[in-house]
Amino acid sequence: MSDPVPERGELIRRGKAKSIYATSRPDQVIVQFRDDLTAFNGRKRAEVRGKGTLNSRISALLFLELERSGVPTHFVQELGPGLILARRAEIVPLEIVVRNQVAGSLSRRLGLPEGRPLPQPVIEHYYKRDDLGDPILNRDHIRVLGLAADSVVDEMEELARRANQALLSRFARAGIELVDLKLEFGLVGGQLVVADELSPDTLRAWDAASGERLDKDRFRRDLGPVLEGYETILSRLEAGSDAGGPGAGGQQAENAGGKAQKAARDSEEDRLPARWAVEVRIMPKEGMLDPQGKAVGEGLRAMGYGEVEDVRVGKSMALALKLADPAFARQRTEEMCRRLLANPVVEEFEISSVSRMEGRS
Amino acid sequence: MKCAVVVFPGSNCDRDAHRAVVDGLGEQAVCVRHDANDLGDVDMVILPGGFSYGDYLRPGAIARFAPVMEAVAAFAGEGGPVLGICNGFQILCEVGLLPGVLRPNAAQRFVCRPVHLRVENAGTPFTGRFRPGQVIRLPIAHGQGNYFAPVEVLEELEREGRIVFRYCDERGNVTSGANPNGSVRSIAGICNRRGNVLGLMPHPERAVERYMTSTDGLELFRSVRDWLMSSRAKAVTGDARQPATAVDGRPTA
Repeated sequence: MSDPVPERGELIRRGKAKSIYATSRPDQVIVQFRDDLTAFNGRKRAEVRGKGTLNSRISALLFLELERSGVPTHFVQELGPGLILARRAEIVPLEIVVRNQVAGSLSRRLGLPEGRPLPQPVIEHYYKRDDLGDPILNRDHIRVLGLAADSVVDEMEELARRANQALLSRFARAGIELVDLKLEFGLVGGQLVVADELSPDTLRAWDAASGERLDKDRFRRDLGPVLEGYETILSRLEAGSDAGGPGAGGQQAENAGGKAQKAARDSEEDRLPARWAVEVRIMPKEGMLDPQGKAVGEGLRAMGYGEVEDVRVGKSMALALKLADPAFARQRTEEMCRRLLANPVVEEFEISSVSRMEGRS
Repeated sequence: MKCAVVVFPGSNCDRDAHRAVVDGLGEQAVCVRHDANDLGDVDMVILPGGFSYGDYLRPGAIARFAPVMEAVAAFAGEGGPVLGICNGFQILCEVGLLPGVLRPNAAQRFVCRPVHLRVENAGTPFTGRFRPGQVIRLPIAHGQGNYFAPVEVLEELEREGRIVFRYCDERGNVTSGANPNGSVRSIAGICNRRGNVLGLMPHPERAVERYMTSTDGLELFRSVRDWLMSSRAKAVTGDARQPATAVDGRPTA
């Protein structure tokens, strides 16, 4: 139904936690989420195996949530563990932070205790300049620097509020408080879209019951194993998702942690997408009346094939997927079957084969 | 009263539905495209019959991803009346707004003829003008109207009075002979738990004028109007359904 996935090209930019690659399409890039973790403008560094995979999954889920809420984003699709395909955007050098509760620099700047709820979402602007330490800006500063027109900043703030609202309720359903988040924007053909990532690296997420911090503050302040917090966020978001079809959420959530660790062990080379041929067989459920099969059976018997006891008619589909590994291809196909390809009320599906196709990128 | 008729690629009863509301009922109707993000200010939504997206994969399976369906789901979530006719019923089941599925007719044939229906629940927003047990007559025209749901779902539908119409003979007897497509328990139409989403295979919009040989369909549309007017009267503050909160708060520079 959609366009074929473009080939991965050369490295365009290597940031602190992500690398951006060109593709065979001028309007799309591949974003690779790496395992590097940095804080305090790069002064504290670590590599956390599996973080990239978790952040790309979480980002994909949250970008989709924004799209559902009518907030445009640069997200196109997931390509595999740690890889997403995105629209190429011209990044606005201005970060928007939306805060729902006091935390971090706001607490230090205003002397308010962390965790105090704010009576309204507070919007802050930051200048995206590593060499200056990403300073906070007001609207006059933005005009003086000529970073973006007033109308563009207005629109960014509006989109940021809507994004915050959508993510607040998504996290609330997962039993998580969204304390604050940082958004970056890009321009795609004159349209503002939410770009960069939406992950525990760029937002604060606290367990609603215990107040435990699940985000990058674990790393900044040495509060506990970083990956566990990120895994909790992903598994809760997936469990609270309606995307996986009936009964799928919990199962996916259980798998997520293990998959992330496995993916982390895979070398960088293995994570480049390959093409997989997946065959799916969809049949009427056992015991379900199959009028088509019955008619075909009667036809065969009328032709003299008296040995025909039963005929069932189903569907066979051949998919070509561009993904990093076959297990992920199978997992994605199962999800597609549950969500669209089969109707679980009357049909059952089977993934009959997953095999590598020629023509690797 | 204003009604939105959703038009998918392949819908073919949208004009009939529009006409039933405008000419039959004497109310307003607008056609809303499948790629619209909102329905506008309407009081009712109709998902009309047809073959949206060519019935590819399964009837209704692709239509559920049309952008407009999010607005329809939100409208239903706020309690607004949503009527799915034929393909519209199939879409409502695929979206999950109604349980179950419509399978190919048991006889493997497209069926196009008037049928009798027994009104099983006259307490829904769509059936207020009928008596419980009343026999009405509406046409059907479908190849896949064979309703099926697992037995526990059927029990729940029975218990909660959500089976709204059953196929019957002209005296109101529910018999296998009067069942045109093999539907389980002769089900012709069901509603959601709240009662504001109805799906049915028969076509009420094709029974709204005398020359159509039945005007029972018009009574269904009139029932919705009655219900809208009485629920509006009941609402303490204006419209019972509040629009989504508007986002404002742009800073005054």
